[in-house]
Amino acid sequence: MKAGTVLKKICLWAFTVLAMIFIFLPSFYLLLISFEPSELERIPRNFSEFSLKWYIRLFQRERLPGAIKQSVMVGLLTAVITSFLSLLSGLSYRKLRKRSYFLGLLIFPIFVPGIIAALSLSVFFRLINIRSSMYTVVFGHVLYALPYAAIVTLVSFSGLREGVIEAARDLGANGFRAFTDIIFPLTRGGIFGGALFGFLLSLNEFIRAYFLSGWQETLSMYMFGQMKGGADPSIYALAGLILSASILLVLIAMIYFAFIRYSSRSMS
Amino acid sequence: MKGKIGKSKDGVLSYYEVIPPVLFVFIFGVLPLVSIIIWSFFEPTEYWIRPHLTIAAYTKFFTLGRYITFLKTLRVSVTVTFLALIIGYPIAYFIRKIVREKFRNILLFIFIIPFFLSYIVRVFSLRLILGRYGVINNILLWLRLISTPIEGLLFNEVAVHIGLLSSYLPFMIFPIVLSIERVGDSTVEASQDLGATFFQTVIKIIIPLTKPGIFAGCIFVFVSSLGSTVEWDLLGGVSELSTQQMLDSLMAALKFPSAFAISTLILAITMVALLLGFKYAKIGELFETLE
Repeated sequence: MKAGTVLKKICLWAFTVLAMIFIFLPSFYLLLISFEPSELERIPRNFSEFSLKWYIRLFQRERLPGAIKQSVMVGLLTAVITSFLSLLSGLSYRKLRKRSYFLGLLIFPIFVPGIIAALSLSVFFRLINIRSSMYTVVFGHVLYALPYAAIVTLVSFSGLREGVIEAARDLGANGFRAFTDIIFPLTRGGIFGGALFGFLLSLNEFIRAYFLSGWQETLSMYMFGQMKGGADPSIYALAGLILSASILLVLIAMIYFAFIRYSSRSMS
Repeated sequence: MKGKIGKSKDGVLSYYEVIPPVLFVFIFGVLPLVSIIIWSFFEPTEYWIRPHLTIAAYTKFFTLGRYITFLKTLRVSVTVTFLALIIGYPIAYFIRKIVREKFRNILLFIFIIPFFLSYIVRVFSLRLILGRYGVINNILLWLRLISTPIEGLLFNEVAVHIGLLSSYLPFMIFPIVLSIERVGDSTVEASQDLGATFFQTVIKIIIPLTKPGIFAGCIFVFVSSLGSTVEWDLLGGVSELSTQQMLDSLMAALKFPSAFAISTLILAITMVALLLGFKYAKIGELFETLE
């Protein structure tokens, strides 16, 4: 290898690592600060000083349980509806002639600025006399998550060979059997992936919830209010909690996907 | 646009399953946008609007100086997009062409993670880096480069740029990785065999071939920056009103046509960028892997 190539490689490694630090260091630093017992904005000085004081303080927040419950409900509903719509997209996509138009429509919402999507949907609901509630937020969130979830599902469907389904049909399986026995087992990774996208994107979404919510706020709205208002350090604990929960879910999903890959490899 | 409705050949389900997703996106994703474009030409009443065509909302946009705020938001979005491209392109190239396959997936996964984390928390955490008692001030104090903490790192436009960049950099990396994937190794080798230097290869071969990814990434970052509020709210200064905050206060003041007019302008810019991307940069090619 030439010296220039090695230098190029080292520079690019350093550059990429710097970008990662730029993206991740702030969140990680916040997580560490949330364990500092005093009100100072600093990392605990030594290991024995790490404390869950601010996390315990969270339980005394009156509006917090309602906000968490609302976010979980909205997230679960969004996950179910999003993955169902992505599944239908995956099933129909392979049969369509003008696929690119269908795909274009599915991913169109990605290209609409968040605040415009939120604002327009809120006045649209107002026009057709639907009052703001948990369900209006769910609609906004499904629209937000569907493009990503649909892409994940379509990728898993692209590995599905027509021949396998035809074989099942030839062996006498009806449409339902072909779905439960062949299509679903082969594409479940994409379908659950879509659901995960739905839940996590919904949980962490702010502007659509802000425009579409009724009287009950979501966790992101509650958190945003606290951040703007300058609350005590328990806001770091809350932020740390939601960060940890998201990372935990992603890790569980990773293990699940690794398991699927392993089991499908051992099957074939 | 829909396939032939009827019983499909494998009969698992008929073509009807295409209807729910199409209807959903059309009713909740397209119709509301068309509505606000039309309503921006309506006349305001005390609490709502009435169908009487006027361009008052647009003339107010210019006479009341709202366009100044609008241009500022545009400028910030363009700058952030440009910075994201400069930083994101080498990273995408590195991930796709230089790193070994084992590391490649790990790096890609690392850049996906922020997508699953709360962007409010991520933006808020930048306060701990840029603030008076933040990491940067601590480092500078420790290095004895300054004697008192700098206050000017936070609550201004620079902080907003940093926030937007940290939020949307991954959006730039992924489309470019996808498009670099489509440039064969042999193309790069051929160029170098013919005596081109690395930089000549990048500028003459790789960048033109990855135009779809570059455009798609730029549109993602630009649109997301135009539509985000949190960075301005949590990192911007009190005096620095953004278009997004202006929209919010117009809606709260029930000045609907004015809010719709500004939204229409943002949409128009987005759609023009999108059309240009599809027509001249062939963004559609990026999705061919799904076919």
